[in-house]
Amino acid sequence: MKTKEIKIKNYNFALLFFVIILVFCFSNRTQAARLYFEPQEAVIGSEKDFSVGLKVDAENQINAISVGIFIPLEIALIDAVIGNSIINFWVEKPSFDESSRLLTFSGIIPGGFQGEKEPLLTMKIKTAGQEGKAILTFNKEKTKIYLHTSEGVEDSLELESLTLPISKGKENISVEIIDRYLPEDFKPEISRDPNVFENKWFLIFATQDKGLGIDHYEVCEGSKTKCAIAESPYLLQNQKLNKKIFVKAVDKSGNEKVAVILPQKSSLRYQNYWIVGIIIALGAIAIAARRKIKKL
Amino acid sequence: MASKNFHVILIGVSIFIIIAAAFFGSEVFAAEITATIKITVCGDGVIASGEQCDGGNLGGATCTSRGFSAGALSCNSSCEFNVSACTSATAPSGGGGGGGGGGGIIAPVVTSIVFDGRAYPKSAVTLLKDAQIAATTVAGTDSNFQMTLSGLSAGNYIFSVYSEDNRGIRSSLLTFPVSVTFGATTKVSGIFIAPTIAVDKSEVKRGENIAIFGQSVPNGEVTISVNSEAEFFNKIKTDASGAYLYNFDTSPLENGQHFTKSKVALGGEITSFSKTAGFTVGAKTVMAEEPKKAPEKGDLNSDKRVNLVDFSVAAYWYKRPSPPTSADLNNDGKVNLVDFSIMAFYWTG
Repeated sequence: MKTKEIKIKNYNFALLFFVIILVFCFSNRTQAARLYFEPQEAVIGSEKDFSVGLKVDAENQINAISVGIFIPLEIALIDAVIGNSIINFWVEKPSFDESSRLLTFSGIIPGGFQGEKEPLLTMKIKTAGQEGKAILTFNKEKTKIYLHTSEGVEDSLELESLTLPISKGKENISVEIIDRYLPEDFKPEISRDPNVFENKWFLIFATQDKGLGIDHYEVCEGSKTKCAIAESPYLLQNQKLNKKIFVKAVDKSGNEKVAVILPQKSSLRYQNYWIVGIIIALGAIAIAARRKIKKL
Repeated sequence: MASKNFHVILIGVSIFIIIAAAFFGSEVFAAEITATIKITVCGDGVIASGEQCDGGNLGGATCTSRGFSAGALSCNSSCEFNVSACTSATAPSGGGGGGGGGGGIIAPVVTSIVFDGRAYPKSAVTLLKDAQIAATTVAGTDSNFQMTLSGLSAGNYIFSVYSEDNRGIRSSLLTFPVSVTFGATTKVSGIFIAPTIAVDKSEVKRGENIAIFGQSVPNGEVTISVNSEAEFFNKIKTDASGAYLYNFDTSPLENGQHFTKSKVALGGEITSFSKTAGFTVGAKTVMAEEPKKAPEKGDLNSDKRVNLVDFSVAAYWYKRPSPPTSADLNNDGKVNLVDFSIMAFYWTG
């Protein structure tokens, strides 16, 4: 009798446990952002370049991302292509630290983003040539996603590493992005702020390139030939703002888009004042001379 | 016998839990159903909803099926039938000379995108492309607006739309990614900007009314949510100008901080929730200040906008020691990605 009661109780608790599991499965779905890799093929060949996309699924609305990817020694990172990324503004452009073998970047999506399979960047990699496997993993400390909130709240994350078997002698299919597009139109702005560059005039600029991405910017003050590689915000050398400024956005294929800012204070105007002044003075001298001649 | 009863009760409880889970689960999912934006591509050869044809795909239509007697039916760049080369049978008249063959014109390849949506009557609507202002327009008296961007590259874009109501209060940003196809016109329809919201009191004596108001489309059905331990939902219609006003009785609310938000439905379409407006239920009544037109945070240069200038100033202080308080949005003594996340939330372009 006792054993039967225990059995019934056990059965009841098993049922309750089953129900709790069921309820948990149906009502408590985890909502997390997922970061994962999408290789061009399941196996990487030892010959030629290979592309691996980094993608995000965001169930909640997110607006800021920082990522750290560990690149193993079996793989060499050739390039990180940001052309079609959903990140609008880069806080830190992708950079690879050889000693730690970490590829890191961070950026924001103003207004937030919610969606699936959206690209963050594409890694161009190459193997060292030997047979084996390479595992791409996320550095948990450097990989964070923030929700689109007023307080900068971290979203929960699912990070999926990628194991790529390396096939010696296999030639990877060449995936070349033909960058036909110029960088997008943009409007640089001149600004000043007591907290930046000691309240001196600086230039801000940013644009996108839907092909391979922006490689760099150049700022040319006064002449198209006097250019310097620049990053926004850029401290202007000509603080008088009386010369044209050209800002070049150059993509990784070398395509250029140039934006021009006209002089804010025209030096020509002051030159004109001088010319007008000289003409008036010459006119006055001429009139005076004529009167003198008439008197004579 | 007792164990049998216990067993029956347990099964009953289990069934109740499953039903409750299913019910509340569906409530959660129902709450997630928000604005739906339709994206169709004109020029990809696929006839989508709202298109008569697409490129060479006429869907089997001919001049004859369109009521003409002969000719060549084609499709224009808006994915509508072009019947200019269709002819109707007419009684023969005097013989006219045959026209010369027209020269071939190669139409330029245009990659463009058209946005259709609803804002507020006669309100200013701003479109951001990759977080920078790309176009502005004014909505009609019916609150409908349309904007077109051309000369785009093919690729992924993030577009955002917002509007300003008749008091100059900005709506929340409605953001959506769009993949633009080369040589095609992408149509984004069903954009329905969330209503604005404000309250007339910052603190209200428990039991007194608080006015919750804002603007959306004319004759829309507004659902106002007031959060408490239980969430209160109230419905009201907007007037012909799109304005709404609801006097909420605060008797059922406990003392403390509360928030309210609203969404609007019209013609089977629904907005996402508005921004939230906060108020306190307490022992006294304090009238609210005029809603601020400037963003609460992120406007580092005080121009009432949060845009690339502010981003650049914050970028200057990124990871630098002793940043100014204006750039350190969460007051933790450093400028890091958390501050940029807050800035992205208040972004106006």
